[in-house]
Amino acid sequence: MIPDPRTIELASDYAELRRIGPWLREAVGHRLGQSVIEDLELAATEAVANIIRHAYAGLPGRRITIEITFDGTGTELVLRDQGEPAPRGLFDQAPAVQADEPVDPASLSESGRGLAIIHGCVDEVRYARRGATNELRLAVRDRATP
Amino acid sequence: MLEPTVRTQGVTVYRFMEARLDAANAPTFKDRMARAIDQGDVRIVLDMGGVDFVDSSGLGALVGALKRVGSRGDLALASLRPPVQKVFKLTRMDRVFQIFPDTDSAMGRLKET
Repeated sequence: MIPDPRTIELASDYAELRRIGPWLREAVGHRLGQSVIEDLELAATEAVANIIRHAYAGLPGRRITIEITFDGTGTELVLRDQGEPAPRGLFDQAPAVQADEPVDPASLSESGRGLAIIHGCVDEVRYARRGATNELRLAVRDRATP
Repeated sequence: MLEPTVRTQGVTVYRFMEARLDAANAPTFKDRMARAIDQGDVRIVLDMGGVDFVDSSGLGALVGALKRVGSRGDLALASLRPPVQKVFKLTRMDRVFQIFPDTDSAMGRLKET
């Protein structure tokens, strides 16, 4: 059976993050510009790492799928997993980032920047729980070429 | 993963040898940096010219290294490629780290301090 290039299945292992970029380039490299693909790769990488870390609590042997779709106005990645549901409202808006003034490094956290990166890379983030499945949609609108 | 390439006037340049710094290798990177810092390399230029992808886990490991150096020295980043620069800007970490276009300018700045 020939694998569907518009879907990828990943195991809950951080090494699997490195399959996302090559898959995206193969699936949409002919359709999207390099910077859009880089943004989608970064957003999807953050989202999958989040799923492994939180929805699956770091447990190996679980499954995550990513599907890519086009609707004439843009491109959407749909990530699905069967882990614990995300906290209510987690994906509703971009978290506040540090203020502009210089920051004391000692006060910085080493984690917690993934959501800001996701929101910075895509135009729309939507999450829904459907039965036992988490569904996260990351969408970018088609960008005019200069 | 991490190779010292230059040591001069108390400043050490480390080159990050992989193309990605992400959740898969961030823990190892953090350990290697901690070892280097604890062995006395506290004025470090990290050459990231070969890196084309950094995620929030990689960023977290860099923040960990910056905190470990603390007031004992400096950690400067050099030669960030555009996709990596974008991650720093999105998270405002470009305002936290000393970032230089190349290792020479980073070394020049650290030698002054």
